[in-house]
Amino acid sequence: MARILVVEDDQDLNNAYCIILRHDGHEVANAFDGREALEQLKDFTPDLILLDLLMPVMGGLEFMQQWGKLGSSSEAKVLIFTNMENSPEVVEAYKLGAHRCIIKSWTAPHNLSKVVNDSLRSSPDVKKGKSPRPKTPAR
Amino acid sequence: MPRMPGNEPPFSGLSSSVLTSHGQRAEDEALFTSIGDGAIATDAFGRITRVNPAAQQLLGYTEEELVGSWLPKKLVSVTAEDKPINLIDRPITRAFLTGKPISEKIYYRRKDGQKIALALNASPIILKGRPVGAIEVFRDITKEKEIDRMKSEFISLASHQLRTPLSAIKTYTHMLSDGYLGKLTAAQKKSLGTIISASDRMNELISTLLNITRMESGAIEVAPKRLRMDKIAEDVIKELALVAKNKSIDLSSAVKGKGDPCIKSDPLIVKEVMTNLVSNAIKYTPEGGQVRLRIRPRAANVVVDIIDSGWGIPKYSQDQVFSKFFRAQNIIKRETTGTGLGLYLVKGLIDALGGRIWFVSDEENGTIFSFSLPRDAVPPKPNEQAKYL
Amino acid sequence: MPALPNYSLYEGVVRITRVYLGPAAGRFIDRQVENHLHKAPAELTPADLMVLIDWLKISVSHLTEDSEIVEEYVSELHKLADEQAKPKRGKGKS
Repeated sequence: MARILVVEDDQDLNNAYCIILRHDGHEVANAFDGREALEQLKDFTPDLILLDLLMPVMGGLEFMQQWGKLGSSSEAKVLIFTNMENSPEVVEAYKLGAHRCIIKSWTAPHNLSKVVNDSLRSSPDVKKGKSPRPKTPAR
Repeated sequence: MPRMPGNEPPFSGLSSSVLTSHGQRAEDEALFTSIGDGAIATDAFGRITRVNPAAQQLLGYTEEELVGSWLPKKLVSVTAEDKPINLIDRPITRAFLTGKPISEKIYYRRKDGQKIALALNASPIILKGRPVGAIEVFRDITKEKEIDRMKSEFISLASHQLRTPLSAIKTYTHMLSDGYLGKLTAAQKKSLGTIISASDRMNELISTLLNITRMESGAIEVAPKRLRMDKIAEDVIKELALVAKNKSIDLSSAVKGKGDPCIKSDPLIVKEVMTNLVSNAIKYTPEGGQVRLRIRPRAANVVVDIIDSGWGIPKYSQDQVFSKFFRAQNIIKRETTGTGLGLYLVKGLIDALGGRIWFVSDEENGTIFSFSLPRDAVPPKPNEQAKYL
Repeated sequence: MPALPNYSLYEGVVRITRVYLGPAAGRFIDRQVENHLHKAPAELTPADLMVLIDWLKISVSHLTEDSEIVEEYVSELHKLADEQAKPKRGKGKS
């Protein structure tokens, strides 16, 4: 079991990822943009962050830059979600420390579970942290 | 030619050779002045000798400000990021190095300091077999660059906008099918399978269309990295294993020979090419057939063969295989899906990587598609600046 | 009869050019010879050099504004061509 933060502006996809990851037994927090994600990180220490790049208010790259500036000692891995493979944004994300890039439209639930598990397997031991703030999709 | 009465030349006191020479010069001058694109000529020392009105207007200088000055210093050529380009890399210098016209898109700094995007052609001026100067002809492509930028932005946006709803379709149908939201009947699962398959095809089509648009507008960016061709082949095989298994097709890869399978190229593009070709091979091979990838390292490049025992390509269709929208007749009857865009895209991507693609096929024995990629995709560095001058 | 390889002339041209262009000289001369004379650099003859000088002069004139340096460079090349064009004396002539 791991602690995973899902950051995705599309409500349907955000909801789906939370269902899949909770089904796999993980503790999941979610946010709909980078600013909300930074807020979540005050109370929730994830082992893994699933991060969409193109989001309103604060996108994935800006989130990574701001998170880096906070000087957090977190060792959470960042998996980038995008539909823009080969884009300069993905290249920049890797430079900012992203672990891996997942193409949203090609990723079925079982693939998501596999990618998450593969990434966690190489992570340090799961840390105990605070509980996530509950978040319901805004409609 | 006999002179007609009433057609006496105006300066009848001058000799005819002088008159002809004057007339010729006036004509040349009118010709140079009338060129709609900017034109600048230099002498053998690089000094500007002539500038036409279009060039003056594009660069913001008067004729007096330009004529007599040394062109490379007066007209600074810069990159899109405003960095000056080395003199030895400028089109005019390369025109002298090669003896041939050089065409390029560049930026010049205008008199007001702004940079202007130009499509420029630089040529040596040859008189009796000897170079005596150069001529640059150029036109403003600011609007074209803006259109290219808008196209790239549209492609990125369309990619995201089209794929987001598809992501949701794929994710939820899979969740339903895999039991994340409760148990389903067999019939429900089968229907979901149909939706999944259709959304996969739509996704593939969007991907292909967007890649082709990028390719045709020159927006494919090659990001070279050191990669192993055999490793990419293994990844492709893993991803397509299920599709092959569903048709009981034996899918495998191997390296032939002891050479190094590493090259420097763009791994995402190489994988796209291999996936396309292997996917085609599986699609166009009947059940129970074979598809093999063979990696052949050679001295200057690595060759990849995709060998199938499929239906083959009829001889009369083979010269159109890489054309847009082409699908062979023998295939259309058996496999109605397919856009005819895959091989057109693959060829474009191979060209972008500096490689070559070819095939051998007949309807009895199947097809071998082969492509080669150079060991080093990085373009050669420009000559060192002549810094001793 | 094809010209024998004339390494000393080619090397001389590169040596002189290196004074003005630095380490890029070799590649610069190679490209000029291949593109304008359509032969291998080492096959350069004194007659070829006279043709090549025109191209070297105009190329270098677009790399430096200092026409004195260009003339100096060209003058050195002319000297080399003249030296190479002189018939060589054999040893032990009777």
